[in-house]
Amino acid sequence: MKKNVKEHTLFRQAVVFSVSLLVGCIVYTLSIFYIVPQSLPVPKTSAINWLVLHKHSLTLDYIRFLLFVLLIPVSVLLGQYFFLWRKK
Amino acid sequence: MLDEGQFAAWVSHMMHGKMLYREFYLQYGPLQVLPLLVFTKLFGVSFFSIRLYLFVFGTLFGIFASILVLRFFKVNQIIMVLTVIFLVLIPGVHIRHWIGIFTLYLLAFSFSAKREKTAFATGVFLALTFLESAEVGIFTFILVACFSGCKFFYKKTRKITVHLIPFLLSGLAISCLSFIVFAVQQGWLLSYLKTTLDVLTSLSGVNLPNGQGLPNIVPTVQVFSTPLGFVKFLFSRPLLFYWSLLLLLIFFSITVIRYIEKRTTEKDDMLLLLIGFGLLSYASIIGRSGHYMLLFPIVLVSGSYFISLSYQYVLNNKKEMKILSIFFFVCFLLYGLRHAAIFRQDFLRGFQQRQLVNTTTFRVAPLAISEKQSSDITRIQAFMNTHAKSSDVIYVFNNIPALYFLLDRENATRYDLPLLASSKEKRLEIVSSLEKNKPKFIIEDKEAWAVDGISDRQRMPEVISYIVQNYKKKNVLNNHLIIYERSEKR
Repeated sequence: MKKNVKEHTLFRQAVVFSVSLLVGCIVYTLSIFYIVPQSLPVPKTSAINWLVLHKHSLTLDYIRFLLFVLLIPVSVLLGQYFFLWRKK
Repeated sequence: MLDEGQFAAWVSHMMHGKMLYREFYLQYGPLQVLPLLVFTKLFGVSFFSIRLYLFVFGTLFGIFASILVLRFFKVNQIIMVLTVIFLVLIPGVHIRHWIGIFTLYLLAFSFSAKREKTAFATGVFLALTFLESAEVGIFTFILVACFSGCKFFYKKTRKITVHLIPFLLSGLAISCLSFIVFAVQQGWLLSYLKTTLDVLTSLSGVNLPNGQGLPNIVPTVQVFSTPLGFVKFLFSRPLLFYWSLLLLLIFFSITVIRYIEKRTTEKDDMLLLLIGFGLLSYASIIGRSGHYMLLFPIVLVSGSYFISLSYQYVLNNKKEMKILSIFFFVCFLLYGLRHAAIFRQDFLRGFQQRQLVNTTTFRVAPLAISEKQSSDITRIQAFMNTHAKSSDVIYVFNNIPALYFLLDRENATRYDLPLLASSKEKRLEIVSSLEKNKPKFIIEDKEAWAVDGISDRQRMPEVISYIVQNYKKKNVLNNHLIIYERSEKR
């Protein structure tokens, strides 16, 4: 009986985890389309590479990467905080 | 042959008595190159020896390290076998990254088993990691420092940390001192430090020679035309980059939750080190999306820990947990199979596609290569043997460094991969070397791979301008290998 209750809680925790993960992904998608600028000036360099020829900003890529790396764990951990708070 | 070719070129330079770092540009640590010299001495001067070290030895070491990590995680036998099969099938295991992971394994093991000898070995391998690759060495060092710091601040583990750290530091110090003595004796210590600093600073960011930025995730309209098209796009090569990153972040979040709930063991310490290593490596490959394959094994091994944890519920009576566990297991299988379908080893591709022939090509045998490659190599070797002395220097305009090894001729410049001369200053250095060393022949391959779609003529305008002014076309072999000879008026 005790084991069943524990597993039920684990399952609910997994559901909360998935929902908060989905929220994190949606927030990330919205932020890269509506908040993060679509282009940034390309820094001056004498290298002739794909980035220069396509006027592509690597800084912007780093911003997108950092946003993804921060948003996903933050939203998941907030969801778990909410779950533990409700459980108490 | 680009990757193997550059290693082969370095071996060729060392055999001609050239000093590494000082006389040829080496973007890797000495440990990636010096063993190659030993391999060529043991197994012969051939691409076979190069492949034996890079492919066989590198993969075996990586697989060995991954098995140690999986055993540390106490992963279920079935999951372990599946993980190892995927690691063998998909060419992502490389000694460069796995020596770093092996060091992290030694660190976690030394704290778990409280062993001084292992702590000493951690220090030794930390130094070796840096000598293999400065970038991977820095990542490993950051993680070792963070791990030791956390263990020190945590009251329960402070005593053991204070006990083990001196062993780790002495292993590190002894290895560093031995390297310094060796490099000073060889005469390239300062050049090594200078080049490593240059690699870490100038060959990054916007100066990245093969920078492409993050893979594009915006789908085209055609993708939505059929449901299958959309599914294919969802699990396409560029999207796998993001799927793996997402998985790594999910694993990270679960581990943090386990720490918050105080459900962790020493296995979670190792897992966090592995995930940290994966995330740092991810940050380093932004702009080098072609290097994604190196990260797949890290995600797979960390994932196998969680799959193994959930696998126990497969035999459980609770329906929801059973379904969830089976779902995770199927996802794990699909993840591995999808990677295998896209990135599988060359020997698994269709035999008709490969069209290999047994060949006795000089410096390639006993490896089998295609008829076309064999003909190219044989013809250019015959040309050089007829028209140039063995002491004549040459210059290969494209990123085909293998030619220096195959033709047994020295490079007139420091750069075996011209794409590494990314800045204007370095391109002018090539021109200056060409002026000084006056290579008798310059080789250009019309069919050479344009790295990231940028042709070498576009990438190096100063160099091509110099060639056009000072060299004339001598011969065209197999309709694509152009050989330029120095103009006599000069």
